[in-house]
Amino acid sequence: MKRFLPLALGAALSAAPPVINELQPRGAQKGRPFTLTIAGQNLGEGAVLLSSLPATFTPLTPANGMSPGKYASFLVEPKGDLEVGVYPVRVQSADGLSNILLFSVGAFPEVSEEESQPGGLPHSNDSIEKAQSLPSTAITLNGSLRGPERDVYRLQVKAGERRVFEIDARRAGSAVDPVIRVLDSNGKQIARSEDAPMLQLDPRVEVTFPAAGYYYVEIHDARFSSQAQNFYRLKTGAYTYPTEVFPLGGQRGKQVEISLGPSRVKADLSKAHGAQTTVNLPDSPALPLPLAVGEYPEISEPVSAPLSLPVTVNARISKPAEIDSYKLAVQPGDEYIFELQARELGTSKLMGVLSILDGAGKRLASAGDTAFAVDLFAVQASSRTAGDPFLNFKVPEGVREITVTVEDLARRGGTHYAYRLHASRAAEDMQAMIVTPMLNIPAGGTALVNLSVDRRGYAGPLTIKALNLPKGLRFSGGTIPPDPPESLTPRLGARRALVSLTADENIALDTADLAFAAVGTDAAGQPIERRARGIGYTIGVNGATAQGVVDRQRPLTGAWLGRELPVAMAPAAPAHLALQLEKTDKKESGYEFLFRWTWKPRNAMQAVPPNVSVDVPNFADLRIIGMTVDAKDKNTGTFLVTSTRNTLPARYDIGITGRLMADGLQQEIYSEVQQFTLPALDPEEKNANASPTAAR
Amino acid sequence: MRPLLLLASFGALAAQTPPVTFLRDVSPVLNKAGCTSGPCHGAAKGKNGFKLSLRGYDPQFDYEALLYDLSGRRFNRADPGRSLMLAKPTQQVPHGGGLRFEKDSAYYKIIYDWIAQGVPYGDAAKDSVAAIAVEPKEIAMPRPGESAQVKVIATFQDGKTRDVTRESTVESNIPDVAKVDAAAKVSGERVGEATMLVRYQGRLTTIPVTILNPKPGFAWKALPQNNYIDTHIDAKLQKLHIQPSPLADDATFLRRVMLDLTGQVPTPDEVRAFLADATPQKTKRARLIDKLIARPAYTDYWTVKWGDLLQSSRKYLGEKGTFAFREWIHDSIAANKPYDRMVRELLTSRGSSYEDPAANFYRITREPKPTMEKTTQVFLGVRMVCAQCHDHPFERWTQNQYYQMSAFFSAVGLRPGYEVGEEIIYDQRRDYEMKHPKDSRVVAPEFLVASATPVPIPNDDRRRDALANWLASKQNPFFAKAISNRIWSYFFGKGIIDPVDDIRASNPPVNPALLDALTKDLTDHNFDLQHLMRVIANSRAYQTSIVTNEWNEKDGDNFSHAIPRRMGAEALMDAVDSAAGARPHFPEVPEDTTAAQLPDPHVGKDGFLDLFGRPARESACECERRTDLSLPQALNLVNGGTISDAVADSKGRIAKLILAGKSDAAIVEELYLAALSRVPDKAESERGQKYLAGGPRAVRSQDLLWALLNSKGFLYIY
Repeated sequence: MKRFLPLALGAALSAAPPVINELQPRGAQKGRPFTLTIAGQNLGEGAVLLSSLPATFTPLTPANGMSPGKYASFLVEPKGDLEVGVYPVRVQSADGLSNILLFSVGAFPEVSEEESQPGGLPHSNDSIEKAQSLPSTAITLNGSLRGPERDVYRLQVKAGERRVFEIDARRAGSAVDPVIRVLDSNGKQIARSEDAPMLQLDPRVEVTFPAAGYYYVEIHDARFSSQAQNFYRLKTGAYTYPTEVFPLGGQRGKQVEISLGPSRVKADLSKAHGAQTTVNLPDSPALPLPLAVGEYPEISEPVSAPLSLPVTVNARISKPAEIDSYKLAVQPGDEYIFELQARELGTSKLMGVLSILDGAGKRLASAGDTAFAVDLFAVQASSRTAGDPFLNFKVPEGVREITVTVEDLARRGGTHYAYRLHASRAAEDMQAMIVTPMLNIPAGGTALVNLSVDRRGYAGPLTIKALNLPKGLRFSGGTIPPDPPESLTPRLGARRALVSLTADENIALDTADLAFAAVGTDAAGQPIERRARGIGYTIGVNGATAQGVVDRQRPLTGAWLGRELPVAMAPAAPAHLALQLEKTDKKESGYEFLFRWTWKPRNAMQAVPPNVSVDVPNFADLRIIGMTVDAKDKNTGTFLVTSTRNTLPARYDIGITGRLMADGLQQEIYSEVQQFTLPALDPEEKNANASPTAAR
Repeated sequence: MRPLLLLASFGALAAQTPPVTFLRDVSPVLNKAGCTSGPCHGAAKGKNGFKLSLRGYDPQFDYEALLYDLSGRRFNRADPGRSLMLAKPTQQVPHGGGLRFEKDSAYYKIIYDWIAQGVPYGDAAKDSVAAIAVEPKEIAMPRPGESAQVKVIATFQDGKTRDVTRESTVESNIPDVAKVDAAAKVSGERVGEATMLVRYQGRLTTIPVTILNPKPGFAWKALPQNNYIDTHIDAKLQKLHIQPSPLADDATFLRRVMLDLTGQVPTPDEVRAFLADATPQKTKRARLIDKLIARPAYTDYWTVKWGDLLQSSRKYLGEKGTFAFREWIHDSIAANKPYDRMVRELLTSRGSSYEDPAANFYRITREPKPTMEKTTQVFLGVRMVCAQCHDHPFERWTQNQYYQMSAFFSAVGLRPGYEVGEEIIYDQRRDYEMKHPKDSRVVAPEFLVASATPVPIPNDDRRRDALANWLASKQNPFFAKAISNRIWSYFFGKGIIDPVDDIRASNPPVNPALLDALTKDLTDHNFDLQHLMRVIANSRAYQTSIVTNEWNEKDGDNFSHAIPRRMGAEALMDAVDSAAGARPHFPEVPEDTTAAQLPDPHVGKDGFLDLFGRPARESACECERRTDLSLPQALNLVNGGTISDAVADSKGRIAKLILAGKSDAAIVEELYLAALSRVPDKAESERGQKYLAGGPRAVRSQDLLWALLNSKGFLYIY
């Protein structure tokens, strides 16, 4: 885990948490001091800059034209030799925590695209004719793509010169999905890269130029989309970079030898904090690559002996149509979890299929090749995605040995089709994630935290537990009802939890992250507790173009930071919002719950909205109706939550959100999460008109 | 199952009359009487509760329907004349289909005897039709107004023959050239060519009909033979007494060949340079063709064509998938990838829609049956869609073949990938067999026609690899022919077989020898499409003028003269920008992206391009691109923003001409060259100069350009 270093900027008076929109520049050459300007809102005096970048930050007076609340500048002096990589940057003031943006440290001198400089003319390097010249030495070029445009650069090379062109964008916190094209002097394409192996959506191409002369490098977004975080960092030079990663990870606490293509390196996992660390060639200008950190003993292919559990197998589908097989001695009734780790790591292309065969080769179970539920809209491009597969498997009668096979869904194979197969004796498991990247809790008010639990065999009820709740913070919610048996489908078991944290008026929080765990009880009555991982940060990616939008893009997240839930206190909210269950009525088709919401403005003149938005996680067939303001008191009103026969009888959480304008800003005010119980219907009632399509 | 319903009591009767079976005798009567036609009982849901197979393609089904519907009450075996099957068509009882035949007709007697003999089905090994033959095999009439009788002879499986002219269906594909009556008598109506389609019990054949021009005085004047195309065309023209037109002039040729190869109009400088080039004409034109094929615009233009046919659209593929698929098409064309390889790569594609862009081919149709329909239509020119529900009415394709061909794609699976919008195209390992809709039996994959060189078909999930080998082989009778015909149509406005994606016996080529020669040339050159285009563009036939003579003025089929074609939407848009010197500007793509470079029809949707017929890529049919000229288009040209904005572009051609101080004569010449790719003649130049002198030069120059862009000389390829 990289530690954040606080940096005092001065005294504070702003009334809302800071927000950062832009870093100028987005990166710097290692070992050299530079000026960093942060652009955003509420960046006034009193803020501190938090970054894991090992450097000193000296505040500078913002340049002319940069209003203090919107810009903050620093002289940054690295401490020692920084490692090439990306580092989170955020700001904390007395009014709260900002979002994170990423800052890059590179190996080469930094150059800027002229067009993206202040005062730069739009579209000034959009064609070969208008290409910006680049020096022939190794550089990192900082550019940006403003909407649908191409950026073109001219480069003079010698005959036979080898050159690598690589873009750090998605990996460096940009929403651009970049494409590199290398063109000859006639504009003919001689190389192109879009999604290079191990670089996720970033491109890298290596060219040995056949003849001396001018060549052109064209950069554009794969969709010509418009993004708020629209920068890219083009690295070019004759450098070496990892051409493979194998194995894809290692066991926590161990020293692991990793092949990166040109050479093998030792990765020290004794200090690895989260589920992931990084690995790189010594002194490589390329960004480090992710490396998984596991908990089980590890073995690598070739594996001929039966597996001894728990184990993580490191292997690779090294050629097309290859199927790797692992034997395992079992007893009927034994339960196992097999999990593949490959594509989600970003360093493997494998879309894995896991299968379990009995001794006669009969297929008993598989994952990764099952058809997705029918999607009526799938005739058009779908935004659904699939991750790495896992299997919960109970050994049937008469089976004493099973074979676990791994292959690629499309029967591909090669250097970049490595995987990690985790196998363990367990019937029920789950993974928890804190979906809220950071939290500003208003003094005397409430903030909401969203968590997600990915069920892996465990179908019972869950509660979210706060592991290190400071004094003065009140926790509420975190209930996830059990799943009905029919929903136990791999990868479709993600459930959502809603937690509210309510602060006393005058409490102080340190900068330690809040931690949560999902807790259940397995079939044997033993507790299952899984600590929730933090999402780190979230950077939005637009899929939108003005017409014909199809691809919706997932935001960039940073679980690799190893954070949980950073929290800070924020100024008191302009109003308090309360929620109360007033009445429960049984109706013909289900139950009806009457809730009352009540505003308590701090200022009697504060206008409050006539409605609230309502969130009841995991409640099938949820309907919110009858949103009504009391005629005599505009600060209170009611709404109804109704169930149907398809709604699972269970305890549910409910939270409400109101949006009001205060101090010229729209603010969201949250109630504490409340709980209510949906009673079971009589079996006859339930069967009378039950829908055959069930709850999900 | 064929129930044996022969009753002993009918034995004596059967001995007195020749044996009558459903297969040999009754089914043809039902077909000829119209009982099995689409509007009657052959309709998808039958008529008035009684369903027969369309045009009797499934005699077994029809027989069982007759026997078992209404609990077998259609027959009165004791008194055949009182059978419903006779009472209805003779209107002894009310019949929605009216009178089909009289009580004293031969058809009545056949059915009567059949019922009397116990309604036997017959033996398919003896009673079904093995072949039909026609006389004459070809009809040539020296003039309109003549007639010829067609005779149809059926040969049954037992070797017996029968004159089935009366029961056959004979139809003309162009009745205003040659029509045919119910007795199969063909009448010549006007000069031209037509084809008679003869059908009997699922067997088809055709009879070409030629009606010559009776005008006296025809004397063939030989014209240059640039290559084998001209030889084949001239052979046909000479036979038909059609004198081809001479070559078009250089300016016309330059404009035509640029638009056909690159979708661009020449710049004024290109026109001047080509006209000034003193190289012998044939050599000069050949060099130009080579240069055009090497241009990036060639790649862009043909990328649009293939993007249309392969339906590259974000509606199906998402944005990144569309751009990746377009890039794959673009790269294939830029590299002049052999066509068979390109098709093989599409059909055998697997993997990520982002990393293996050819796999996007399967994301558009998604299901085996529509994928098969698209594959056969685009790559073989064969439309199989009719055969999904019944045997093809105008071809030999059966419903079984439809499912056998679909079975090649039944294992294709699609699953979301890891990235948003990404899909993985793979081979399903289980539960992928194609089932026949009739009885849910598993249908094994089988080729549409047997290959000259046997191609083994693995009965596993990789069966589409075998299909690719069969489909894209030189021996495939459709593959090379279909693409040769399609490419031809892009240069002449119509195919040698037209429509180009409806190759069938009843739609024969207008010049079979020419199509065969093109096909052979393509396969001899390993499916090099650039070679084929080069040969076509170098032919005299392609370079012929649109100006007709007294012998070819009525010919629109035999390529004796060029036929004006409206520019396609993208070419027209780019031509407007080129003529006006304006920069293209479309939303959502970088500046200067031309219409031919757009990734798919969603850019600029509902604008000028769609108005002028850009296909939405909803279908693989060539017909989706419209090249008509409609009133809304005319109004847009006159009043719309596209042309008015282009002519008034602040950095456009007119602004530059005025700012450069060009003379009126120079402006007029430049605008003619830019819009019409030719120098104005003297009268045009004088009229233009006079108009410019009559008011503000800039405004008047804009007016002149606007008028030129609204002229047919600009809108058409000629």
